[in-house]
Amino acid sequence: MGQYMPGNSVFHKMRGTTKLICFFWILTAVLLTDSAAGFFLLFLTAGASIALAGIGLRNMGKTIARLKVFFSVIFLMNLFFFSPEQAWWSCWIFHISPAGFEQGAGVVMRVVFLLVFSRILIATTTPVELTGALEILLLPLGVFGISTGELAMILSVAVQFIPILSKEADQIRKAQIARGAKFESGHLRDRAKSVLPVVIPVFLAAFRRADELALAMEARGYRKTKAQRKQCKFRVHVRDVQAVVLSCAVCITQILL
Amino acid sequence: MSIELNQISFCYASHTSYGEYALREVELFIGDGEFVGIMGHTGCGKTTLAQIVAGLLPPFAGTVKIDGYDINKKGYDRKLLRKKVGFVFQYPEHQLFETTVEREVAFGLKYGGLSWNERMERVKDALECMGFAFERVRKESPMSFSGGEKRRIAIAGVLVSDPDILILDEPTAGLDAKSRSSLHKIIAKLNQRGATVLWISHDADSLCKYADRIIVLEKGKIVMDGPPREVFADQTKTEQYQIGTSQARVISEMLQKRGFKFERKPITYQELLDDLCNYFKKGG
Ligand SMILES: Nc1ncnc2c1ncn2[C@@H]1O[C@H](COP(=O)(O)OP(=O)(O)O)[C@@H](O)[C@H]1O
Ligand SMILES: [Mg+2]
Repeated sequence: MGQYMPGNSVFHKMRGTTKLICFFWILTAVLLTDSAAGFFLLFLTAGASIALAGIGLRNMGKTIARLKVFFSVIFLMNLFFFSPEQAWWSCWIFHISPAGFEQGAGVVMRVVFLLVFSRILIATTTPVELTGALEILLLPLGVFGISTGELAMILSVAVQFIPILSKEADQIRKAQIARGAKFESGHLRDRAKSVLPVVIPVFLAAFRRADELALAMEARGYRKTKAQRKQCKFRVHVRDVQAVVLSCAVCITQILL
Repeated sequence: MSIELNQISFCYASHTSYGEYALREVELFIGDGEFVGIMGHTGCGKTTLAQIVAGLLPPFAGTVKIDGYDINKKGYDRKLLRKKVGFVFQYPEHQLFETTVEREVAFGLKYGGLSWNERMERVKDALECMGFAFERVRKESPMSFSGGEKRRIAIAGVLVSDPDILILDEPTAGLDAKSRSSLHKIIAKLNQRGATVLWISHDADSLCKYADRIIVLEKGKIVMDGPPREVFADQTKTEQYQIGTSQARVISEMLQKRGFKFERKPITYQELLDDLCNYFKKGG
């Protein structure tokens, strides 16, 4: 999924909370989109965001290209298994219809946009800032007796483990390739067989890390008490307001389109 | 088997946007059968270099030739590369996954087209080379061993394919003194039998003892390259690049300050001992 990329852009300077709120607006917008004009609007939004965040197009392209098999599968599923009405071509249970084509393209584009926007969020926000923001946004849950401090703690552990484990998985994958595992082979069967040599060590690594972390936390005296509420002084900048309003606008336009 | 790097540059994907290179324009030739030590402080690019040599990372620019063939060219047989080049990662025990030691070690032979008997013969050799009694451990679970033993099992799993080039990325980190020196001896033996060895290490003492040549990296560039004696003779540079120096060299410096005269600059205990003996024989 990628990691934080240090930088100096407007997005990097924006508060985590703001970005998270904007992200939820955009998320809604993406899910609501179903017209050509809507997708064009998303396209413009994504382009502008990438430019503002200072993430290379190449980098973004790589993230998307990595999932090309996944995209192809969703697209083909939608293309072949849509309703047989008005089909261009039919055979047994397979029907290719304009509606199926549209549906397939729509789903793929939505997933691509989700990927792009979450990549921007993660690339411009440090894990610490992201969990801090979650903690603030989850505060209202306290009403229902859920301790947001602990919830945020769990989330922060989860978020911080992503880069650690992905690094570890990468190492193990390379180690098994060096021993002759057939990831590089074009055959799906070979690749499938090489899954276990990576999955097992990664799971073991996850358990090991979790154990270490639990011990380290205990050794430093972590108890299940009320986590000190972070002092959150809201110092709202113009750019925070602009960002929230703009993303909200995208969402509302999407509803209207 | 020789290794040739031409103008190798590399940059990690997450660093592309701010142009921080992990390696820049590295030129390197390593001849058949050399024992090369790679040094440099953390983050200077040692692991990246090693993984590029092993074909585990594709370089951004430049070519890697193993035995004269460009390994990143289309049509190059990667299977051959995997067989020729063995790579021991920093914590090799983390890669264990099989149910028995025997299957774990044999994993690298899975696609070699060998018969069961031939494979078991190789597994036996590799495990015995790493100091295990084959019959006793073959059916055990690799997870049931101690950390140091697991590491030796994992290394056996690399040695089993009898690689011509052996790359080791700080394999002794966290090992006890005895396992460390026995690993050094095993690798030196493999080197004598003809394997080219690339050893990444912070341990100047052992590199002085075994390596023919030491390469020092700094910010993705090769800044020193030569026999251990030459590299460690340059004290300003070894301090600048934070690679330390061998204990024997430190002791000989101290003795020199007290008036001892050495004909050469001893870098291993053996040399130091020889020189001291000579000194006393001559001067009394
Ligand atoms: N997977 C990775 N993703 C991003 N940057 C990395 C990765 N691995 C290493 N780096 C960076 O590349 C540089 C060289 O790292 P590395 O080759 O691991 O150095 P060494 O092995 O000498 O400690 C360092 O600055 C490090 O932060
Ligand atoms: Mg390293």
